[in-house]
Amino acid sequence: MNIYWHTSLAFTSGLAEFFQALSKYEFLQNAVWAGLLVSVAGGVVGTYVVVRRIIFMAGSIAHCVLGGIGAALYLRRAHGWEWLDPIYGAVAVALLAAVIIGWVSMKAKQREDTVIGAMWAIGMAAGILFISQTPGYAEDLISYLFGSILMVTKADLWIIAVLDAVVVLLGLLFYKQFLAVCFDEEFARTRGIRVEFYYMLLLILTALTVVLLVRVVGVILVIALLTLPVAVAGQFARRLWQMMILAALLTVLFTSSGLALSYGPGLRAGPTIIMLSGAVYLLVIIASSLRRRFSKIKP
Amino acid sequence: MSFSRSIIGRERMVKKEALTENPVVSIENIYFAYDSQIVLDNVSLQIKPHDFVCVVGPNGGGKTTLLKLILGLLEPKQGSVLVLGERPERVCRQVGYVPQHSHVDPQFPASVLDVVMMGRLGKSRHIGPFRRRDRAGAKEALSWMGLEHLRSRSFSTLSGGQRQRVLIARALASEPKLLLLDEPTSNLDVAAETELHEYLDKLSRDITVIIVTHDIGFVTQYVRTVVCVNRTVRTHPTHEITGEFIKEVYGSEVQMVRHDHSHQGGGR
Repeated sequence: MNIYWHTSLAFTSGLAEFFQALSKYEFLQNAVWAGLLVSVAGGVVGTYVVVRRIIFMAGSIAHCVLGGIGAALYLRRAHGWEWLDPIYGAVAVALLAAVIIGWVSMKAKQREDTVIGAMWAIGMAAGILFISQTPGYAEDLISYLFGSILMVTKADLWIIAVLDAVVVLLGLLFYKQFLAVCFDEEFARTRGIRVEFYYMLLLILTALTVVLLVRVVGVILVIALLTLPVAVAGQFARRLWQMMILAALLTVLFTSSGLALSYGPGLRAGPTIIMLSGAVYLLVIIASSLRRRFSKIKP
Repeated sequence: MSFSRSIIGRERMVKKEALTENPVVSIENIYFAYDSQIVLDNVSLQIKPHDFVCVVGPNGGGKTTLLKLILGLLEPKQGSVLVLGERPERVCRQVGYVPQHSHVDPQFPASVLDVVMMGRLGKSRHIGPFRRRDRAGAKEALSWMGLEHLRSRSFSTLSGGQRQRVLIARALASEPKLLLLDEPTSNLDVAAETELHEYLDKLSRDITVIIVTHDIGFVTQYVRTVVCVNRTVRTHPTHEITGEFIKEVYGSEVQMVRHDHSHQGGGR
Protein backbone atom coordinates (compact mmCIF):
# COMPACT_ATOMS: atom_id res chain seq x y z
CA MET A 1 0.00 0.00 0.00
CA ASN A 2 2.79 2.27 0.95
CA ILE A 3 4.64 1.56 -2.27
CA TYR A 4 1.48 2.17 -4.24
CA TRP A 5 0.95 5.47 -2.46
CA HIS A 6 4.51 6.51 -3.19
CA THR A 7 4.34 5.62 -6.85
CA SER A 8 1.09 7.40 -7.39
CA LEU A 9 2.38 10.41 -5.53
CA ALA A 10 5.52 10.44 -7.65
CA PHE A 11 3.31 9.96 -10.69
CA THR A 12 1.04 12.92 -9.94
CA SER A 13 3.86 15.18 -8.92
CA GLY A 14 5.65 14.16 -12.13
CA LEU A 15 2.61 15.12 -14.17
CA ALA A 16 2.26 18.41 -12.28
CA GLU A 17 5.88 19.11 -13.02
CA PHE A 18 5.24 18.42 -16.70
CA PHE A 19 2.31 20.82 -16.94
CA GLN A 20 4.22 23.53 -15.10
CA ALA A 21 7.16 23.08 -17.44
CA LEU A 22 4.85 22.99 -20.46
CA SER A 23 3.70 26.53 -19.85
CA LYS A 24 7.30 27.67 -19.37
CA TYR A 25 9.46 25.91 -21.93
CA GLU A 26 9.14 26.24 -25.68
CA PHE A 27 10.82 22.88 -26.37
CA LEU A 28 8.02 21.09 -24.52
CA GLN A 29 5.37 23.00 -26.42
CA ASN A 30 7.14 22.12 -29.66
CA ALA A 31 7.21 18.47 -28.61
CA VAL A 32 3.47 18.46 -27.94
CA TRP A 33 2.79 20.15 -31.28
CA ALA A 34 5.01 17.66 -33.10
CA GLY A 35 3.09 14.81 -31.47
CA LEU A 36 -0.24 16.30 -32.54
CA LEU A 37 0.88 16.86 -36.12
CA VAL A 38 2.43 13.47 -36.78
CA SER A 39 -0.55 11.73 -35.22
CA VAL A 40 -2.84 12.79 -38.04
CA ALA A 41 -0.59 11.31 -40.73
CA GLY A 42 0.07 8.29 -38.52
CA GLY A 43 -3.65 7.57 -38.12
CA VAL A 44 -4.50 7.93 -41.80
CA VAL A 45 -1.51 6.15 -43.34
CA GLY A 46 -1.08 3.65 -40.50
CA THR A 47 -4.62 2.44 -41.18
CA TYR A 48 -3.84 1.82 -44.85
CA VAL A 49 -0.59 0.08 -43.87
CA VAL A 50 -2.35 -2.25 -41.45
CA VAL A 51 -5.28 -3.22 -43.67
CA ARG A 52 -3.08 -3.62 -46.74
CA ARG A 53 -0.70 -5.71 -44.60
CA ILE A 54 2.49 -3.90 -45.52
CA ILE A 55 3.76 -3.36 -41.97
CA PHE A 56 6.96 -5.18 -42.82
CA MET A 57 7.57 -2.80 -45.74
CA ALA A 58 7.04 0.20 -43.47
CA GLY A 59 9.59 -1.28 -41.05
CA SER A 60 12.12 -1.71 -43.82
CA ILE A 61 11.63 1.88 -44.98
CA ALA A 62 12.07 3.07 -41.38
CA HIS A 63 15.41 1.37 -40.97
CA CYS A 64 16.61 2.63 -44.35
CA VAL A 65 15.81 6.14 -43.10
CA LEU A 66 18.71 5.80 -40.66
CA GLY A 67 21.03 5.48 -43.66
CA GLY A 68 19.70 8.76 -45.06
CA ILE A 69 19.97 10.53 -41.73
CA GLY A 70 23.50 9.23 -41.21
CA ALA A 71 24.65 10.27 -44.68
CA ALA A 72 23.20 13.76 -44.23
CA LEU A 73 24.81 14.16 -40.80
CA TYR A 74 28.15 12.96 -42.15
CA LEU A 75 28.10 15.34 -45.12
CA ARG A 76 27.04 18.19 -42.88
CA ARG A 77 29.65 17.75 -40.17
CA ALA A 78 32.58 16.21 -42.01
CA HIS A 79 32.23 18.11 -45.28
CA GLY A 80 30.55 21.30 -44.13
CA TRP A 81 27.27 20.95 -46.07
CA GLU A 82 25.52 23.18 -43.57
CA TRP A 83 22.22 23.38 -45.47
CA LEU A 84 21.72 19.63 -45.35
CA ASP A 85 19.27 19.03 -42.54
CA PRO A 86 19.10 15.31 -41.66
CA ILE A 87 15.39 15.32 -42.45
CA TYR A 88 16.18 15.90 -46.15
CA GLY A 89 18.40 12.84 -46.15
CA ALA A 90 15.64 10.94 -44.38
CA VAL A 91 12.99 11.98 -46.92
CA ALA A 92 15.21 11.18 -49.91
CA VAL A 93 16.21 7.74 -48.70
CA ALA A 94 12.67 6.90 -47.53
CA LEU A 95 11.28 7.73 -50.97
CA LEU A 96 14.03 5.74 -52.67
CA ALA A 97 13.37 2.75 -50.41
CA ALA A 98 9.61 2.99 -51.08
CA VAL A 99 10.14 3.02 -54.84
CA ILE A 100 12.54 0.06 -54.72
CA ILE A 101 10.22 -1.97 -52.49
CA GLY A 102 7.22 -1.11 -54.68
CA TRP A 103 9.07 -2.07 -57.81
CA VAL A 104 10.32 -5.34 -56.34
CA SER A 105 6.90 -6.36 -55.07
CA MET A 106 5.17 -5.54 -58.37
CA LYS A 107 7.67 -6.41 -61.05
CA ALA A 108 10.83 -8.23 -60.06
CA LYS A 109 10.73 -11.99 -59.79
CA GLN A 110 12.49 -12.06 -56.42
CA ARG A 111 11.11 -13.17 -53.11
CA GLU A 112 9.70 -9.91 -51.91
CA ASP A 113 10.28 -10.43 -48.18
CA THR A 114 13.91 -11.36 -48.77
CA VAL A 115 14.54 -8.06 -50.52
CA ILE A 116 12.64 -6.11 -47.85
CA GLY A 117 14.63 -7.79 -45.08
CA ALA A 118 17.91 -7.13 -46.83
CA MET A 119 17.11 -3.42 -47.26
CA TRP A 120 16.06 -3.26 -43.62
CA ALA A 121 19.50 -4.36 -42.43
CA ILE A 122 21.61 -2.63 -45.08
CA GLY A 123 19.95 0.75 -44.49
CA MET A 124 20.54 0.44 -40.78
CA ALA A 125 24.17 -0.66 -41.22
CA ALA A 126 24.89 2.26 -43.56
CA GLY A 127 23.36 4.68 -41.05
CA ILE A 128 25.43 3.40 -38.17
CA LEU A 129 28.65 3.50 -40.21
CA PHE A 130 27.98 7.09 -41.32
CA ILE A 131 27.13 8.29 -37.82
CA SER A 132 30.16 6.55 -36.31
CA GLN A 133 32.39 8.38 -38.81
CA THR A 134 30.75 11.73 -38.07
CA PRO A 135 32.81 13.90 -35.73
CA GLY A 136 31.28 14.54 -32.30
CA TYR A 137 27.83 13.85 -30.93
CA ALA A 138 27.69 10.20 -29.92
CA GLU A 139 24.26 11.09 -28.57
CA ASP A 140 22.99 11.44 -32.16
CA LEU A 141 22.79 7.72 -32.78
CA ILE A 142 20.64 7.06 -29.73
CA SER A 143 18.32 9.94 -30.55
CA TYR A 144 17.75 8.75 -34.12
CA LEU A 145 17.27 5.18 -32.98
CA PHE A 146 14.83 5.98 -30.18
CA GLY A 147 13.45 9.39 -31.02
CA SER A 148 14.20 12.94 -30.00
CA ILE A 149 10.86 14.66 -29.70
CA LEU A 150 12.25 17.06 -27.07
CA MET A 151 14.76 18.44 -29.59
CA VAL A 152 12.12 19.54 -32.13
CA THR A 153 12.65 23.21 -33.00
CA LYS A 154 10.22 25.78 -34.44
CA ALA A 155 11.86 25.31 -37.86
CA ASP A 156 11.43 21.54 -37.60
CA LEU A 157 7.78 22.05 -36.78
CA TRP A 158 7.26 23.86 -40.08
CA ILE A 159 8.83 21.02 -42.07
CA ILE A 160 6.75 18.51 -40.11
CA ALA A 161 3.58 20.53 -40.74
CA VAL A 162 4.17 20.69 -44.50
CA LEU A 163 4.96 16.98 -44.85
CA ASP A 164 2.00 16.17 -42.66
CA ALA A 165 -0.35 18.26 -44.80
CA VAL A 166 0.86 16.61 -48.01
CA VAL A 167 0.46 13.11 -46.62
CA VAL A 168 -2.97 13.67 -45.09
CA LEU A 169 -4.31 15.51 -48.13
CA LEU A 170 -3.22 12.81 -50.60
CA GLY A 171 -4.30 10.05 -48.24
CA LEU A 172 -7.82 11.48 -47.97
CA LEU A 173 -8.35 12.77 -51.55
CA PHE A 174 -7.83 9.27 -52.95
CA TYR A 175 -9.60 7.53 -50.08
CA LYS A 176 -12.00 5.62 -52.31
CA GLN A 177 -9.25 4.35 -54.58
CA PHE A 178 -7.04 3.31 -51.66
CA LEU A 179 -10.00 1.59 -50.02
CA ALA A 180 -10.73 -0.38 -53.19
CA VAL A 181 -7.08 -1.26 -53.82
CA CYS A 182 -6.61 -2.43 -50.23
CA PHE A 183 -9.85 -4.40 -50.22
CA ASP A 184 -9.68 -6.16 -53.56
CA GLU A 185 -6.89 -5.22 -55.91
CA GLU A 186 -8.12 -7.30 -58.81
CA PHE A 187 -11.63 -5.88 -58.74
CA ALA A 188 -10.22 -2.34 -58.51
CA ARG A 189 -8.24 -3.07 -61.66
CA THR A 190 -11.39 -4.14 -63.50
CA ARG A 191 -12.90 -0.75 -62.65
CA GLY A 192 -10.12 0.96 -64.55
CA ILE A 193 -8.19 1.95 -61.40
CA ARG A 194 -4.44 2.11 -62.00
CA VAL A 195 -3.60 -0.21 -59.16
CA GLU A 196 0.19 0.06 -59.53
CA PHE A 197 0.00 3.84 -59.32
CA TYR A 198 -2.02 3.82 -56.12
CA TYR A 199 0.09 1.09 -54.58
CA MET A 200 3.22 3.11 -55.25
CA LEU A 201 1.55 6.27 -53.95
CA LEU A 202 0.60 4.41 -50.79
CA LEU A 203 4.21 3.32 -50.27
CA ILE A 204 5.38 6.89 -50.81
CA LEU A 205 2.89 8.20 -48.26
CA THR A 206 4.06 5.45 -45.91
CA ALA A 207 7.66 6.58 -46.41
CA LEU A 208 6.84 10.21 -45.60
CA THR A 209 4.81 9.18 -42.56
CA VAL A 210 7.68 7.05 -41.32
CA VAL A 211 10.00 10.06 -41.59
CA LEU A 212 7.55 12.11 -39.53
CA LEU A 213 7.20 9.45 -36.85
CA VAL A 214 10.96 8.85 -36.65
CA ARG A 215 11.24 12.31 -35.15
CA VAL A 216 9.05 11.22 -32.24
CA VAL A 217 10.04 7.63 -31.50
CA GLY A 218 13.08 6.87 -33.68
CA VAL A 219 13.65 4.34 -36.46
CA ILE A 220 13.49 1.25 -34.27
CA LEU A 221 10.20 2.02 -32.57
CA VAL A 222 8.44 3.58 -35.53
CA ILE A 223 6.47 0.49 -36.61
CA ALA A 224 4.92 0.29 -33.17
CA LEU A 225 3.65 3.87 -33.28
CA LEU A 226 2.39 3.33 -36.82
CA THR A 227 0.48 0.14 -36.07
CA LEU A 228 -0.44 -0.15 -32.37
CA PRO A 229 -2.97 2.72 -32.40
CA VAL A 230 -4.50 1.25 -35.58
CA ALA A 231 -4.62 -2.18 -34.00
CA VAL A 232 -6.45 -0.76 -30.99
CA ALA A 233 -8.77 1.23 -33.26
CA GLY A 234 -9.43 -1.92 -35.30
CA GLN A 235 -11.08 -3.50 -32.25
CA PHE A 236 -13.75 -0.81 -32.31
CA ALA A 237 -13.99 0.67 -35.80
CA ARG A 238 -16.20 -0.96 -38.39
CA ARG A 239 -15.28 1.21 -41.34
CA LEU A 240 -11.95 2.37 -42.66
CA TRP A 241 -12.49 6.08 -41.99
CA GLN A 242 -13.61 5.38 -38.43
CA MET A 243 -10.42 3.43 -37.95
CA MET A 244 -8.41 6.40 -39.21
CA ILE A 245 -10.04 8.93 -36.90
CA LEU A 246 -9.80 6.67 -33.89
CA ALA A 247 -6.19 5.74 -34.65
CA ALA A 248 -5.23 9.40 -35.03
CA LEU A 249 -6.87 10.27 -31.71
CA LEU A 250 -5.14 7.37 -30.00
CA THR A 251 -1.78 8.42 -31.43
CA VAL A 252 -2.34 11.92 -30.03
CA LEU A 253 -3.24 10.38 -26.69
CA PHE A 254 -0.22 8.06 -26.64
CA THR A 255 2.36 10.65 -27.74
CA SER A 256 1.22 13.42 -25.41
CA SER A 257 0.60 11.25 -22.38
CA GLY A 258 3.84 9.35 -23.02
CA LEU A 259 5.62 12.68 -23.12
CA ALA A 260 3.95 13.82 -19.91
CA LEU A 261 4.69 10.57 -18.09
CA SER A 262 8.33 10.51 -19.15
CA TYR A 263 9.06 14.11 -18.16
CA GLY A 264 8.92 13.89 -14.35
CA PRO A 265 11.15 10.82 -13.84
CA GLY A 266 13.39 11.91 -16.73
CA LEU A 267 12.70 8.87 -18.94
CA ARG A 268 13.26 8.89 -22.69
CA ALA A 269 10.03 10.00 -24.35
CA GLY A 270 10.09 7.63 -27.35
CA PRO A 271 10.23 4.33 -25.47
CA THR A 272 7.74 5.63 -22.88
CA ILE A 273 5.26 6.39 -25.67
CA ILE A 274 5.71 2.90 -27.12
CA MET A 275 5.38 1.18 -23.73
CA LEU A 276 2.16 3.08 -23.13
CA SER A 277 0.79 2.15 -26.58
CA GLY A 278 1.81 -1.46 -26.05
CA ALA A 279 0.13 -1.61 -22.65
CA VAL A 280 -3.12 -0.21 -24.00
CA TYR A 281 -3.00 -2.58 -26.97
CA LEU A 282 -2.45 -5.56 -24.68
CA LEU A 283 -5.32 -4.52 -22.39
CA VAL A 284 -7.69 -4.07 -25.31
CA ILE A 285 -6.77 -7.42 -26.83
CA ILE A 286 -7.25 -9.19 -23.50
CA ALA A 287 -10.53 -7.40 -22.84
CA SER A 288 -11.89 -8.23 -26.26
CA SER A 289 -10.92 -11.89 -26.04
CA LEU A 290 -12.49 -12.11 -22.58
CA ARG A 291 -15.61 -10.50 -23.91
CA ARG A 292 -15.74 -12.96 -26.79
CA ARG A 293 -15.34 -15.90 -24.46
CA PHE A 294 -17.98 -14.51 -22.14
CA SER A 295 -20.49 -13.94 -24.91
CA LYS A 296 -19.88 -17.48 -26.18
CA ILE A 297 -20.78 -18.97 -22.82
CA LYS A 298 -24.00 -17.02 -22.70
CA PRO A 299 -26.78 -18.87 -24.57
CA MET B 1 -38.92 -5.00 -59.73
CA SER B 2 -37.56 -2.35 -61.98
CA PHE B 3 -33.97 -1.29 -62.20
CA SER B 4 -34.61 2.41 -62.86
CA ARG B 5 -34.25 4.61 -65.89
CA SER B 6 -30.65 3.74 -66.42
CA ILE B 7 -31.50 0.11 -67.02
CA ILE B 8 -34.39 0.92 -69.31
CA GLY B 9 -32.14 3.16 -71.33
CA ARG B 10 -29.54 0.49 -71.45
CA GLU B 11 -32.11 -2.09 -72.49
CA ARG B 12 -32.97 -0.03 -75.52
CA MET B 13 -29.31 0.32 -76.36
CA VAL B 14 -28.69 -3.40 -75.95
CA LYS B 15 -31.67 -4.20 -78.17
CA LYS B 16 -30.16 -2.03 -80.88
CA GLU B 17 -26.91 -3.93 -80.50
CA ALA B 18 -28.80 -7.17 -80.70
CA LEU B 19 -30.29 -6.16 -84.02
CA THR B 20 -26.89 -5.76 -85.55
CA GLU B 21 -25.82 -8.97 -83.77
CA ASN B 22 -22.33 -7.72 -83.07
CA PRO B 23 -20.83 -10.19 -80.64
CA VAL B 24 -20.34 -8.93 -77.09
CA VAL B 25 -17.22 -11.02 -76.77
CA SER B 26 -15.16 -11.99 -79.77
CA ILE B 27 -12.10 -14.13 -79.20
CA GLU B 28 -9.93 -15.12 -82.15
CA ASN B 29 -7.28 -17.82 -82.03
CA ILE B 30 -5.85 -16.94 -78.63
CA TYR B 31 -3.07 -18.78 -76.97
CA PHE B 32 -2.22 -18.37 -73.29
CA ALA B 33 0.36 -19.95 -70.98
CA TYR B 34 1.54 -19.39 -67.40
CA ASP B 35 5.29 -19.68 -67.82
CA SER B 36 5.63 -22.93 -69.75
CA GLN B 37 2.26 -24.39 -68.84
CA ILE B 38 -0.16 -23.99 -71.72
CA VAL B 39 -3.63 -23.14 -70.46
CA LEU B 40 -5.51 -22.11 -73.58
CA ASP B 41 -4.46 -23.34 -76.98
CA ASN B 42 -5.81 -21.74 -80.15
CA VAL B 43 -9.17 -20.77 -78.68
CA SER B 44 -11.88 -18.90 -80.55
CA LEU B 45 -15.21 -17.89 -79.09
CA GLN B 46 -18.10 -15.60 -79.97
CA ILE B 47 -20.73 -14.55 -77.48
CA LYS B 48 -23.90 -12.86 -78.69
CA PRO B 49 -25.75 -10.11 -76.84
CA HIS B 50 -28.38 -11.23 -74.29
CA ASP B 51 -26.93 -14.67 -74.08
CA PHE B 52 -26.76 -16.52 -70.76
CA VAL B 53 -23.53 -18.45 -71.06
CA CYS B 54 -22.15 -21.06 -68.73
CA VAL B 55 -18.45 -21.84 -68.80
CA VAL B 56 -17.71 -25.36 -67.56
CA GLY B 57 -14.67 -27.58 -67.46
CA PRO B 58 -12.33 -29.37 -65.08
CA ASN B 59 -10.12 -27.65 -62.50
CA GLY B 60 -7.12 -26.03 -64.11
CA GLY B 61 -8.79 -26.30 -67.49
CA GLY B 62 -8.60 -22.56 -68.08
CA LYS B 63 -12.07 -21.29 -67.11
CA THR B 64 -10.90 -18.46 -64.87
CA THR B 65 -8.08 -17.64 -67.29
CA LEU B 66 -10.63 -17.19 -70.04
CA LEU B 67 -12.63 -14.88 -67.76
CA LYS B 68 -9.55 -12.83 -66.90
CA LEU B 69 -8.68 -12.46 -70.56
CA ILE B 70 -12.16 -11.08 -71.21
CA LEU B 71 -11.71 -8.70 -68.26
CA GLY B 72 -8.35 -7.52 -69.54
CA LEU B 73 -6.61 -8.71 -66.35
CA LEU B 74 -4.48 -11.00 -68.50
CA GLU B 75 -3.25 -10.56 -72.04
CA PRO B 76 -3.13 -13.40 -74.54
CA LYS B 77 0.30 -14.41 -75.80
CA GLN B 78 -1.20 -14.64 -79.28
CA GLY B 79 -4.54 -13.82 -80.87
CA SER B 80 -7.06 -11.13 -80.03
CA VAL B 81 -9.84 -10.50 -77.54
CA LEU B 82 -12.49 -7.93 -78.30
CA VAL B 83 -15.20 -6.98 -75.80
CA LEU B 84 -18.06 -4.79 -77.02
CA GLY B 85 -15.96 -4.30 -80.14
CA GLU B 86 -12.94 -2.88 -78.26
CA ARG B 87 -9.87 -3.98 -76.37
CA PRO B 88 -10.89 -5.30 -72.91
CA GLU B 89 -8.98 -2.73 -70.84
CA ARG B 90 -10.78 0.10 -72.66
CA VAL B 91 -14.26 -1.17 -71.89
CA CYS B 92 -13.61 -2.82 -68.53
CA ARG B 93 -15.80 -0.23 -66.80
CA GLN B 94 -18.80 -1.59 -68.70
CA VAL B 95 -18.08 -5.15 -67.64
CA GLY B 96 -19.23 -6.30 -64.22
CA TYR B 97 -17.12 -8.86 -62.40
CA VAL B 98 -17.89 -11.13 -59.47
CA PRO B 99 -14.65 -12.79 -58.37
CA GLN B 100 -14.34 -16.05 -56.52
CA HIS B 101 -15.17 -15.33 -52.93
CA SER B 102 -11.83 -16.36 -51.45
CA HIS B 103 -10.08 -13.13 -52.54
CA VAL B 104 -11.33 -10.88 -49.81
CA ASP B 105 -9.81 -10.30 -46.35
CA PRO B 106 -12.62 -11.21 -43.92
CA GLN B 107 -11.31 -8.78 -41.27
CA PHE B 108 -11.40 -5.74 -43.49
CA PRO B 109 -13.19 -2.77 -41.88
CA ALA B 110 -15.81 -1.94 -44.49
CA SER B 111 -19.59 -1.73 -44.46
CA VAL B 112 -21.71 -3.51 -47.02
CA LEU B 113 -22.46 -0.21 -48.73
CA ASP B 114 -18.71 0.60 -48.82
CA VAL B 115 -18.11 -2.62 -50.70
CA VAL B 116 -20.93 -2.10 -53.18
CA MET B 117 -19.78 1.49 -53.81
CA MET B 118 -16.53 0.10 -55.17
CA GLY B 119 -18.55 -0.93 -58.18
CA ARG B 120 -19.07 2.79 -58.88
CA LEU B 121 -15.36 3.56 -59.08
CA GLY B 122 -15.09 3.81 -62.85
CA LYS B 123 -18.22 5.99 -62.96
CA SER B 124 -17.35 8.54 -60.30
CA ARG B 125 -14.88 11.42 -60.26
CA HIS B 126 -11.22 10.77 -59.66
CA ILE B 127 -10.52 13.01 -56.70
CA GLY B 128 -12.54 13.28 -53.52
CA PRO B 129 -15.42 11.22 -52.16
CA PHE B 130 -18.19 9.48 -54.11
CA ARG B 131 -21.13 11.55 -55.33
CA ARG B 132 -24.72 11.24 -54.24
CA ARG B 133 -25.75 9.48 -57.42
CA ASP B 134 -23.03 6.86 -56.84
CA ARG B 135 -24.50 6.21 -53.43
CA ALA B 136 -27.98 5.96 -54.94
CA GLY B 137 -26.75 3.54 -57.61
CA ALA B 138 -25.09 1.35 -55.02
CA LYS B 139 -28.22 1.29 -52.85
CA GLU B 140 -30.29 0.34 -55.85
CA ALA B 141 -27.97 -2.53 -56.70
CA LEU B 142 -28.24 -3.70 -53.09
CA SER B 143 -32.02 -3.66 -53.14
CA TRP B 144 -31.91 -5.56 -56.44
CA MET B 145 -30.14 -8.34 -54.53
CA GLY B 146 -32.58 -8.03 -51.60
CA LEU B 147 -29.89 -6.82 -49.22
CA GLU B 148 -30.91 -3.22 -48.58
CA HIS B 149 -31.47 -3.89 -44.87
CA LEU B 150 -27.84 -4.98 -44.48
CA ARG B 151 -26.21 -1.90 -45.96
CA SER B 152 -24.75 -0.52 -42.71
CA ARG B 153 -23.64 -3.92 -41.50
CA SER B 154 -19.98 -4.73 -41.42
CA PHE B 155 -19.01 -6.85 -44.42
CA SER B 156 -17.01 -9.16 -42.20
CA THR B 157 -20.04 -10.15 -40.12
CA LEU B 158 -22.03 -11.49 -43.07
CA SER B 159 -22.50 -15.14 -43.89
CA GLY B 160 -20.78 -16.62 -46.93
CA GLY B 161 -23.94 -16.52 -49.00
CA GLN B 162 -24.69 -12.92 -48.05
CA ARG B 163 -21.16 -11.87 -48.95
CA GLN B 164 -21.52 -13.51 -52.31
CA ARG B 165 -24.69 -11.54 -52.98
CA VAL B 166 -22.98 -8.33 -51.87
CA LEU B 167 -20.21 -8.97 -54.38
CA ILE B 168 -22.82 -9.51 -57.08
CA ALA B 169 -24.47 -6.22 -56.07
CA ARG B 170 -21.05 -4.57 -56.34
CA ALA B 171 -20.76 -5.81 -59.92
CA LEU B 172 -24.30 -4.60 -60.70
CA ALA B 173 -23.58 -1.16 -59.24
CA SER B 174 -21.29 -0.51 -62.18
CA GLU B 175 -24.29 -0.87 -64.53
CA PRO B 176 -22.56 -3.42 -66.72
CA LYS B 177 -23.48 -4.47 -70.23
CA LEU B 178 -21.72 -7.75 -69.65
CA LEU B 179 -21.63 -9.55 -66.30
CA LEU B 180 -18.97 -12.16 -65.51
CA LEU B 181 -19.35 -14.39 -62.46
CA ASP B 182 -16.62 -16.76 -61.30
CA GLU B 183 -18.08 -19.67 -59.31
CA PRO B 184 -20.80 -17.49 -57.76
CA THR B 185 -22.65 -20.44 -56.23
CA SER B 186 -19.71 -21.88 -54.31
CA ASN B 187 -20.93 -20.50 -50.97
CA LEU B 188 -24.65 -20.75 -51.52
CA ASP B 189 -27.10 -23.38 -50.37
CA VAL B 190 -29.36 -24.99 -52.93
CA ALA B 191 -32.27 -22.59 -52.40
CA ALA B 192 -30.06 -19.52 -52.72
CA GLU B 193 -28.40 -21.04 -55.75
CA THR B 194 -31.71 -21.57 -57.51
CA GLU B 195 -32.73 -18.02 -56.64
CA LEU B 196 -29.49 -16.66 -58.05
CA HIS B 197 -29.90 -18.57 -61.30
CA GLU B 198 -33.47 -17.33 -61.70
CA TYR B 199 -32.28 -13.84 -61.03
CA LEU B 200 -29.47 -14.09 -63.57
CA ASP B 201 -31.94 -15.51 -66.06
CA LYS B 202 -34.09 -12.41 -65.63
CA LEU B 203 -31.04 -10.17 -65.86
CA SER B 204 -29.93 -11.77 -69.10
CA ARG B 205 -32.92 -10.23 -70.85
CA ASP B 206 -31.17 -6.90 -70.46
CA ILE B 207 -27.49 -7.75 -70.46
CA THR B 208 -25.18 -10.59 -71.37
CA VAL B 209 -24.27 -12.94 -68.53
CA ILE B 210 -21.32 -15.33 -68.41
CA ILE B 211 -21.05 -17.63 -65.42
CA VAL B 212 -18.20 -19.99 -64.58
CA THR B 213 -19.18 -23.07 -62.64
CA HIS B 214 -18.15 -26.56 -61.63
CA ASP B 215 -21.72 -27.43 -61.26
CA ILE B 216 -22.95 -28.73 -64.55
CA GLY B 217 -26.15 -29.98 -62.95
CA PHE B 218 -27.74 -26.55 -63.00
CA VAL B 219 -26.47 -25.59 -66.39
CA THR B 220 -29.20 -27.08 -68.47
CA GLN B 221 -32.06 -25.47 -66.56
CA TYR B 222 -31.30 -21.82 -67.15
CA VAL B 223 -28.44 -21.08 -69.48
CA ARG B 224 -28.74 -20.94 -73.22
CA THR B 225 -25.17 -21.65 -74.23
CA VAL B 226 -22.55 -23.89 -72.68
CA VAL B 227 -18.87 -23.24 -73.25
CA CYS B 228 -16.60 -26.16 -72.39
CA VAL B 229 -13.08 -25.15 -71.55
CA ASN B 230 -10.24 -27.62 -71.25
CA ARG B 231 -7.24 -26.14 -73.05
CA THR B 232 -9.49 -25.87 -76.06
CA VAL B 233 -12.99 -24.43 -76.13
CA ARG B 234 -16.18 -25.84 -77.57
CA THR B 235 -19.53 -24.10 -77.62
CA HIS B 236 -22.86 -25.89 -77.46
CA PRO B 237 -26.45 -24.75 -77.29
CA THR B 238 -27.99 -26.11 -74.10
CA HIS B 239 -30.27 -28.64 -75.81
CA GLU B 240 -27.23 -30.53 -77.04
CA ILE B 241 -26.14 -31.31 -73.48
CA THR B 242 -26.72 -34.96 -72.71
CA GLY B 243 -25.39 -37.40 -70.16
CA GLU B 244 -22.97 -38.74 -72.74
CA PHE B 245 -21.64 -35.29 -73.40
CA ILE B 246 -21.10 -34.57 -69.70
CA LYS B 247 -19.12 -37.76 -69.37
CA GLU B 248 -16.99 -36.76 -72.30
CA VAL B 249 -16.12 -33.37 -70.77
CA TYR B 250 -15.49 -34.50 -67.21
CA GLY B 251 -14.61 -38.14 -67.61
CA SER B 252 -15.55 -40.23 -64.60
CA GLU B 253 -15.28 -37.29 -62.17
CA VAL B 254 -18.74 -36.03 -62.89
CA GLN B 255 -20.56 -37.21 -59.76
CA MET B 256 -17.87 -35.84 -57.49
CA VAL B 257 -17.82 -32.51 -59.24
CA ARG B 258 -21.56 -32.16 -59.11
CA HIS B 259 -21.90 -32.55 -55.39
CA ASP B 260 -18.72 -31.08 -54.05
CA HIS B 261 -19.61 -27.50 -53.15
CA SER B 262 -17.08 -26.90 -50.44
CA HIS B 263 -13.92 -27.82 -52.30
CA GLN B 264 -13.06 -24.97 -54.64
CA GLY B 265 -9.46 -25.03 -55.69
CA GLY B 266 -7.86 -23.70 -58.83
CA GLY B 267 -7.65 -19.93 -58.86
CA ARG B 268 -7.04 -19.89 -62.61
